[in-house]
Amino acid sequence: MLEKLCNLNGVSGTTDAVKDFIINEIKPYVTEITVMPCGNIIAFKKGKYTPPKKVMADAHIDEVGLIVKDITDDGYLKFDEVGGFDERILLSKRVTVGENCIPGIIGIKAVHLATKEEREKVVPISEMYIDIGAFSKEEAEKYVKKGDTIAFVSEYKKIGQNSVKAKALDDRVGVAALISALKKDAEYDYYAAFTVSEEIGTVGAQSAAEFVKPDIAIILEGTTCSDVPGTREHEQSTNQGKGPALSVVDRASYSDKKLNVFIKKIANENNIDFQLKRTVMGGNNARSIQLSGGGVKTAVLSVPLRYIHSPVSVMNISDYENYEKLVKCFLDNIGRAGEIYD
Amino acid sequence: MINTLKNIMNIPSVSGNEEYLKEYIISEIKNYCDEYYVDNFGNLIVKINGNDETLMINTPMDESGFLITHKEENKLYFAGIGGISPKETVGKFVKAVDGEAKGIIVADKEINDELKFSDMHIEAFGEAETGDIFALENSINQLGDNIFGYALSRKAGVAVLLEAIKKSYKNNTKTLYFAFSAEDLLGFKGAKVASNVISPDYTVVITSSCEQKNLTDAKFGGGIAVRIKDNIVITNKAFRKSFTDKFDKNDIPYQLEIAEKGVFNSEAAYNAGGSQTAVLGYFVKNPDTTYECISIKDIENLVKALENL
Repeated sequence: MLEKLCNLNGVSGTTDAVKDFIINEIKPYVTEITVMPCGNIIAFKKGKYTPPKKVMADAHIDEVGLIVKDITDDGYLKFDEVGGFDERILLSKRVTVGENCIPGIIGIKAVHLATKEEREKVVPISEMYIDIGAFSKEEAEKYVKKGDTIAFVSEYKKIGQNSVKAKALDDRVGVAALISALKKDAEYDYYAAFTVSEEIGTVGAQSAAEFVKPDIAIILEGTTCSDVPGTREHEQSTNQGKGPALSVVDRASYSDKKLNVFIKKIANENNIDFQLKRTVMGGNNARSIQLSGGGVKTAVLSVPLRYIHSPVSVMNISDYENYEKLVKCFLDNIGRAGEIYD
Repeated sequence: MINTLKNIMNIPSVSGNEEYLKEYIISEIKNYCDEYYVDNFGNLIVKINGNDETLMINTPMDESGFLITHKEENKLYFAGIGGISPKETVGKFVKAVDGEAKGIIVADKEINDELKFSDMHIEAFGEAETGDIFALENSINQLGDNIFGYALSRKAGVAVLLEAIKKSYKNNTKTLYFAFSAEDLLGFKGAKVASNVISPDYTVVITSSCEQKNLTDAKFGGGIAVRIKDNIVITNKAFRKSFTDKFDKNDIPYQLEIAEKGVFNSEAAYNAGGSQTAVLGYFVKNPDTTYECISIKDIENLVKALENL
């Protein structure tokens, strides 16, 4: 499931393939599906009981990528970013452009032509181009158009004994865990929101929250993990293999304290490993969901992803398994959500 | 009122951790209102019934603090919550918001504008864990009519609202909503929710004013600030005059000011049903330090002003 999801392309603005896949997967298992005009999928899962508070689980279906900004006279594509990037990761990467999946390579001028200064600095996106093997603007325009989105080419692959590398793990991990929960019987009713445009300002989630009007929302995400050489322990954010990460606060939201206590309790009762996210960087759909309507109590649960927002994110398989378990356990216990309001 | 302010300053209210301050406010005002509740976001709303016209008076109640990110014996590493600059916190005592642990902030690198929280730690005493929240211990001093301490630019507003509730109860005309907004330092969040839910006819935002960021000659010691405009909001002149006329009549000293920068609470109020929005301020010296300074006269006059809206 996760493999299929990661191999689909869904750069913000062109998420239809992911959307169609999800609908196809969940249709037999949910009571009602609404596809909002913006592309959000809102699914209602009927459980055995109705919980005292309305709960929504959110996962975003878009991924970071690039977009064609211009085509040069000699057939190269100039591009801009969709979502946030570390420019250092882009050079020499394989990409696929537009709906026709035209293959290309991100390039810059040859190293022997670069000045000393140019060699020592990070190459800005404005100096890069995508080579699709065309030799003129006219030739390139037969295959691609300005505004086409560009996705990375990176197969989902197992590496080592218990890890996976893929593109778009952010946030197909959330999508996969939510689909997996929907496929099983539920103790309590809940809404599953598969939302668009998280990477460009969490706008899809805003519409989803206005539509569902939840009291409580759990945001399912992938998050930064820099447990690698060169990072001091207190700056690592999360560690691979220590379980899904629960956020306290980041740049976008402060998780509801009592909701976090509740989730920790559920994890402990069910012997599911988890960790706290230990930096205040990053942001996600909680930003807009928590402010909608009369306010929403939010929590953020994430799979730690090394090299997030790159074509080769790496995750630990046990972390994902524990994440999937914890998501399901949380949803099966939301009848006790009254505790959060004591 | 000074004692109330000192109590408020001693209660930690790090963004997202405002519950202890809310408990204190509730204990003070519960007999002076018709209704109070904490909304689903965490704002405390206090309502005093009146006529059909609704007025919301809003002030933020949170302060900056620290998230413990890693622990090595009694060394706690941390990240900042809110906006206080790292340099400003060196050598300051801190305490856990939940629990008994205390400590002092120490820099591991040279103390200058480049200093980051990641190059500092807390020497801790008592039990603390990763994920705990710490607040600055407030050092409060009164010199003449001036009060010095941390987070006065937010907590003086809380004291003003608290006192105004007590004075307004059964003496009001309009229906009053006092909104103590949560997580203001994280992007004016609470005010957005409060404005959406209450959607009042009129809104008055209480904020701090600062001489250095003023485009007029309004200054510390010259009376409370009545904001003409800032980069977010311009107050409707007739609305402004409706209360400044009363201030004139009741000898409430005020200065008209144009501030460089505004607070997005006023935008939130505008956006929620087009509320008539005004901003009233008290002057703060040494803003964003642990020794902010306000004049007692300003906050007393601000309470009077709120009775005359």
